[in-house]
Amino acid sequence: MASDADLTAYVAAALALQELHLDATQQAAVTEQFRLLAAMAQRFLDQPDAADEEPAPVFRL
Amino acid sequence: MSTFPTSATELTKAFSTGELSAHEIAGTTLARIDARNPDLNAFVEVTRARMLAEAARLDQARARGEATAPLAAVPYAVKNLFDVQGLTTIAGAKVLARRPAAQADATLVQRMRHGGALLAGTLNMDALAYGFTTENTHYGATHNPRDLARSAGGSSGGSAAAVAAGLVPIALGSDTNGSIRVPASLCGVFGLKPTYGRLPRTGSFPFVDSLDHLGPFAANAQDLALAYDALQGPDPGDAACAQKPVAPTLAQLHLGVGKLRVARLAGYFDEHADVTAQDAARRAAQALGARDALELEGAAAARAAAFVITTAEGGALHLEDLRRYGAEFEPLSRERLIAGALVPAAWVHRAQRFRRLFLQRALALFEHHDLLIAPATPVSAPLLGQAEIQIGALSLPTRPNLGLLTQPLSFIGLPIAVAPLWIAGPGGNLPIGVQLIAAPWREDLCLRAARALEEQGLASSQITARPS
Repeated sequence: MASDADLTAYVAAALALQELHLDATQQAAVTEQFRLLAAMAQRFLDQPDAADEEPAPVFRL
Repeated sequence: MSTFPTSATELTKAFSTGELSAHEIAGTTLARIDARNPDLNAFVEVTRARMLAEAARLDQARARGEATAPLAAVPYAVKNLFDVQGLTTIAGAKVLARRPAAQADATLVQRMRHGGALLAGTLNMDALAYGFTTENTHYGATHNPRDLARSAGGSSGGSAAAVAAGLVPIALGSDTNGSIRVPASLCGVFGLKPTYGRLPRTGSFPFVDSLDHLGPFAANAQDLALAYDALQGPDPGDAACAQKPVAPTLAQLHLGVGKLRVARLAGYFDEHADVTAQDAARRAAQALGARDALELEGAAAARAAAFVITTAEGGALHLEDLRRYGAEFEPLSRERLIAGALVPAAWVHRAQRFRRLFLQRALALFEHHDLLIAPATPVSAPLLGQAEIQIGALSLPTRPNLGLLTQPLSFIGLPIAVAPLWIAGPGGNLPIGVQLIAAPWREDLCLRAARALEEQGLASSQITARPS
């Protein structure tokens, strides 16, 4: 899992890429939310994976 | 009539027999909304003129001797993410209030209208459908009719509260991660989240296209089936809507669950439910003859994957408005939406691949069982503003975690009905719902189970008749 410093740097760079200009307080709040998302993502990134499980990115039954 | 009927079935019968006119039904409904809504904040807009005009047309048609439609003269209301012609679809969000008024009704609103139902208005929700408590900074919180100090749940909180308070017998809502099932549980009404792709979403404001479902709330299982049957049918306007023929359920309700193989979901679904919620699921399981307690492997990862897909799709959907009007967004969810817009595509693709794997695990359970049971919410209704919920020794933030038990299941699109049970707990005698879960496209089984729990006296919305 990425380090805290890596996550903070990623959020700062991604905000700039997406042209989202936030003040320091709001950027810190977004970084905290992104940290939560990264921890959440780890739960399914740790699961078994197969490239053909979902050939399209849109779910259909 | 000495008392005004509380159910859609009774109301349409009273209209068709001439006991009540549609005008009388509309007038009584509007008077009730006027009286109760200031305390509840369930309705955002009351469509008074439209409701009276629809009622007048029904009365004129009956006077001409025309046959009545299945939902004739049934009052209903819709979450304010459904397009209603002439109103701006705000989806609970101030930032959307600048949009023009809808040119036409959403497909499901059209189907209710064609069924003879009377639209009473639009209902409050969490902003952009992102939340489980209907605490809306710009439009106010919706209060739970069972205890006004408590949350109605969300994001379709206005829909559940309007039915629980007896203002309308049927309401429509949406469910991306639990937004029908959570408020149905906390307000003590019946709700149905159909199979993903069953009901068209045309003319509704999206939240997470790959997870969004629409469905009805009702005062009882029969009304729920009545509404669901009227809403079914394919629609080319929604690419995700399946080309399935209408599969009526109302006539199936009497079949009960006698020969069905029923099991309770344990493991994750026990670990994330407090004593009251576990008790509700066990009582329902016993009443429906469940023999097994099963584990659905990977439920925590499924919840996490749904969480990440939700933020990523939601953030992407609103990215341009976040750039331009960020200050107008709901402060309770704004930073999470922005964070979602930054999620790497690789995480989202991996979450979607896990979704297929998790569905296969669930379908394996349905090879040996027809119906699964789980609590709908980890706890009964929390207080408005309550920061954390307590699940055993676990304290968790309220807003994202009321959907802990719904989120893994909507992730794979299974049809689920919620039936409300009443169990005394720490907060008093509050309702709490159980999820009745079937294999894809078997809404009939969910509704039969809800009806069976009702017939056994275990599930009820406890909406009492009042003088007309």
